[in-house]
Amino acid sequence: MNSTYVWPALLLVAAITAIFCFQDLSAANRDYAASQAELEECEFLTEQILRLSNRPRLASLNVDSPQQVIGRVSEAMRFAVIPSSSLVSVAPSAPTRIGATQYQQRLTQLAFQNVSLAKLASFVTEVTKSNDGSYVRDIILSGPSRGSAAVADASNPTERWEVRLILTQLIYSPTSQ
Amino acid sequence: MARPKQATLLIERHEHWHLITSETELTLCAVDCPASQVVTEAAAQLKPKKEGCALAILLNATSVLHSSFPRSDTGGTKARAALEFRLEADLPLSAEEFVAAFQLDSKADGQVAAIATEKKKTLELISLLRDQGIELLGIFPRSLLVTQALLDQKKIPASTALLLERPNSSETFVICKQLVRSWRLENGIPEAERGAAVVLKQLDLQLPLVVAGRPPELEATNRKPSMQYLDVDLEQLEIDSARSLIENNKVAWFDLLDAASIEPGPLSSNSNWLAQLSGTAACCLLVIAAALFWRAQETERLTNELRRSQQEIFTQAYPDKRVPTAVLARLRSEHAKVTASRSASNGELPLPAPALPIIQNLLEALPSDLPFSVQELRVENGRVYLDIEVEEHSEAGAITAALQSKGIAFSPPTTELAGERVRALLRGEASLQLPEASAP
Repeated sequence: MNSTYVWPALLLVAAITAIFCFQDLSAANRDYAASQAELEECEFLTEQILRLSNRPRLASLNVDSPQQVIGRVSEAMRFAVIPSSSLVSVAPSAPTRIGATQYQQRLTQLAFQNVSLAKLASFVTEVTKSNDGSYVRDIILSGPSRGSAAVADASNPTERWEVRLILTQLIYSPTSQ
Repeated sequence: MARPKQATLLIERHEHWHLITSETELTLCAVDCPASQVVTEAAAQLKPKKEGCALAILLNATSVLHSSFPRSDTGGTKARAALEFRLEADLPLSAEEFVAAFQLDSKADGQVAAIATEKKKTLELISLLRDQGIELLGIFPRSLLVTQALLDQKKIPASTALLLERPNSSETFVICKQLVRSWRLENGIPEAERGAAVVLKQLDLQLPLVVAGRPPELEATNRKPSMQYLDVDLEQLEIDSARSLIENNKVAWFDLLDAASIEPGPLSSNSNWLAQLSGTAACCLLVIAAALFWRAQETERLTNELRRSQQEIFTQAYPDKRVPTAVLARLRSEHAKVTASRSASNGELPLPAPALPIIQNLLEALPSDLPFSVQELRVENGRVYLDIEVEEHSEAGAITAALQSKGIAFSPPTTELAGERVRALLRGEASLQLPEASAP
């Protein structure tokens, strides 16, 4: 090789090397800035997750099967000492999306007969206590066999109601998944 | 490198350059031709014959300048820079314009003999020969090779005044103890003889005069008894002397190639500033590149530490789960799930109004001092429908007022007579009670 070109060739190689190193540094700086921002977001998200994890669940992440719903109702009836003969009907429906939200709801209509208010309250408390997004939104009481005194005194063993209620389960179901 | 059997010589003679190979002698271009032409012609002759591509250059006396001075002028030092600085005072060239070779007396108070030639031309010649792949074995003044050979062959004494007679010129050497004190170019033997006498007088020396060569003046009839005559073929002697030095690895008195090799590289001879600029810029760029590389590595290390911190954060939140590759994406997904299932703060969660607390409130609010009977109680997503029977119309209003005092907003009741009793329909709406847990 002609020695005349040694220095210019070395200069060219050095320039190319410097350019590559500069590009490497630029990429490394971008990665660092991105990682720093990601770390800050991770810290924020983790703090939020830990804080929210202590709260009761307002919506379930899974849809209960009809068998699970019926099992839960039976369990709550046993807890509230409601005889199985008082349960007139159980009608679970398919989950439906609530408007344009990322939530679905499953409505289960229950009908009872000859149930006292005290047992009804015990049943409702038990059936919704699992913190899995279950609510009793609607209750219809009808046909009290006694007057105002019976209503005011919930412990009256002779007090009976025809009850229709709707057990609602909220399910988080993002549309993007 | 293996030497050729007989070294090739590129000789600058009176009018032309000559190329002497082991087989032939070729006449090349004129001595005033550009160096590139000389080298091109020499290379054209050498390469096809595969002569080993190595040669020595023999310079004519017209291309070489000579001077001598006491070593005391430079403080007795052998440093080349000091010697060149001193030599510059004797030459019509600046120190930057010549390359020089020196012959030093062994004694510090002795003499220094110096020869010099034009630097630009010499370096260009060297560069061009190297570019052609031709190795240079030495650059010798022709006449000094002859002088050294005559001394080595003991044909002349170690101290003498030597007159070289060539067809077109004469040269006068004054040699003291094998050190060239004077070297002059003259026109013919008579002038050379007079010149030698002048020099010897200047130097205050009494030395024998020896005439070497084969001109007509050396015929026996013209010889002077005071002078010694040597009948030698000077051109052949210089060729033999050069080959002897090269092939036997002897040291020449003066080799300008050694001096030229000390000078900056071939590029410098043509565009020294460009080489310096390129070299400096290349070094700067390499230093910058190294700094950038180090910085990039350091930044990458810090980035990896940040990523490890992300993984540690994930482990803190989910100690039982395997750390995913994309920590942030996983945390975003988990956060979306937790927020959606445990927080109503995003406003999208359509929380239903629990019916049981509303019924409890309503029952507690019903007045106990009024006789009434409940026919039907409907609580549907916070809305309350109460169908009751009372004794008088006014009692429905009293019951409504009692319920409103407990925070249930009722509209005015609708009443109608039903037999002996009054049937009243109350419509209201309870405020939503979110089942939020206590804040952490």
